[in-house]
Amino acid sequence: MFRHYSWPLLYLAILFFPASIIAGLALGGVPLPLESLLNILTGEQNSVSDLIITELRMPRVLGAALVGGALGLAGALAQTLFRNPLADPYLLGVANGASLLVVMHIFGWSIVALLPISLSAFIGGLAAFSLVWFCAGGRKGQVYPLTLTLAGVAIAALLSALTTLIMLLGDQRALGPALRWMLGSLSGAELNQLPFLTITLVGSSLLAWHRRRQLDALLMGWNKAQTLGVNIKKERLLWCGVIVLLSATSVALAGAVGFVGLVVPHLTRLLLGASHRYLIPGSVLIGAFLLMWVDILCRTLLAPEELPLGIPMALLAVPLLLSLLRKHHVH
Amino acid sequence: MRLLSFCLHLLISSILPLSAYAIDNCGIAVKGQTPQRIVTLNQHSTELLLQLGVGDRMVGTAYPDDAIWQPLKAAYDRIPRLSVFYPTVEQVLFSNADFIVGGFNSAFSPQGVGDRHWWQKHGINSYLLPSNCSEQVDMDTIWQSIRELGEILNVTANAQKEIKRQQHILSQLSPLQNEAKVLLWSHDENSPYIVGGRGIGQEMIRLAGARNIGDSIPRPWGHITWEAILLAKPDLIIFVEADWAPASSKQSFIQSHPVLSQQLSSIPSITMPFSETIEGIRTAQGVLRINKALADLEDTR
Repeated sequence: MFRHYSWPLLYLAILFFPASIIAGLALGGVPLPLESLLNILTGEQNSVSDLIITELRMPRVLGAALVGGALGLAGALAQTLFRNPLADPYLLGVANGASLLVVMHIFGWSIVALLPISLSAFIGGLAAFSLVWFCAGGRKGQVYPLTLTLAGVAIAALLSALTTLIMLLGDQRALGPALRWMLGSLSGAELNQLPFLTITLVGSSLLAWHRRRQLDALLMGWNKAQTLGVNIKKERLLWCGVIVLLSATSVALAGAVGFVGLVVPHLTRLLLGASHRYLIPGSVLIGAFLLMWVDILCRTLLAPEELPLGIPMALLAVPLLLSLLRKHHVH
Repeated sequence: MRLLSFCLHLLISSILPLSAYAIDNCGIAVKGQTPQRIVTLNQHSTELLLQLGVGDRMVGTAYPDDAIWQPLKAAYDRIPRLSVFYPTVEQVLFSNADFIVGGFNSAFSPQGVGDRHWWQKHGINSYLLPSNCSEQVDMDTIWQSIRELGEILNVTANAQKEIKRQQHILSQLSPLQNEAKVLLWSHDENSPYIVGGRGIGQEMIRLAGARNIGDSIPRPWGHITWEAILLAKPDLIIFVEADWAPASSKQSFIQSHPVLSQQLSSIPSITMPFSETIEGIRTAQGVLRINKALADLEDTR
């Protein structure tokens, strides 16, 4: 493993960050002159190109980094909490709940149609988690990883069926936008949506870093962790809450982009090791990088057309994961 | 009166055979007796048949996109509407149809009424508008469908009249000094779905004397980024109007967006009903509408 090189790799990643941001601003659906990039530094906005970079591309690049980091961290926490390598942040029903309310918004159902789409997504995600927690026995305080997983899967299936029903009953011509939302897209990102996600991500990362030893203990199983002094009741609600907040905020900004939360923690473990000391900063950084570059691909692969996030995500993440697996012969 | 015309019809048809037709349509050889009980799917095929004057032989319509063309409304209202979207196979069978005309490819997909070969096996022929299976779609494709349907339905005189009517509309186009850039936007606010480089929309903008900013998209329609639209600096924006994609929501999206309202709200715009942006009897009108808007633009400059 890369244990000895973990910190240098992390430092390298941090240095590579500005380069990725510049790439995100420079590359896109249409080629822009170099001076427009330089004008950001001076704050000038002379031409349409300058405007495109500051008002259209900048929110996307920052949004991609934040959402990628948030989903990466949420995925790592989910895999630790559930002790399941196939866990992803949507296991608690967030994506399905958000999708249901977004589809209700798009097809003009009741009061949901009046709320902005990102707020509908956020509320849907939180409401779905509440339902999952309740079904898993949360009120009685007897929640175990298995019951939580099963409740999550069951509620997700129910919400997914309701979402499909609404789509089938509605006007088929409005299906396009609904499907694109469910695959994820950063094309609607605006600067004013970013502060909340930034605060959530920074707060969650600091909290996870501060409690990294408790998280390492959780990896051994909830019972074992309890014997090591971890307050299970507090920890499981805390981390469920953090996962749900991170994923609901991400989904509200970028749609139900899948696979990030699942694959980023594995990539991080293969590169940096499984201890939360590396897993937490690693998942945030690698998640941010991955989604920034996926967003660049979305805008450039079929320029001037744009792909939803889900497609280049699979194209980029799958070979990465497979090549790392081959190199390390994971059992 | 109806009984009398029925008896007369029987008498005449017993003396003279009904005209037969044989046409190769989108890879299927269609031949048989002149259809007497027709079901049309999608609005543009419905309007086409009504315009050809065979409304009395239609037993069902389905899947309207927007308000039916005013001159055809009375005839349209007399025909039962089988479904708001595509009808089920049972519905078409119960209507006793002997011929189906489909506007889009999806009409004969599993989401529509199913495979054309299946219908043919059960004695019901079908026709799919040829724009769905031609590489190049232009006014000739529309006139081809009019001629072929005229032959199938035994109304060749009406078909000729309709083609002449459309050609007359096109002869009214004014020549333009400059080639303006046009954006024709259907729906989707985050990744605008606009007219692409292949298909009737592209041809309409070209005939009107302008350039389509989506002409590099290798499909009839495609999603484009706002970046590309801003850089292309369109001279005219056309908002498509449909029940499922109202022009007002597109307009208010631009007005309320911090960047787009600055750049795009001063650009002249018009609205166009969805039915004028697809291949049908209203396409020529659509071309004239775009041409008039561009001519007005030139006059004000």
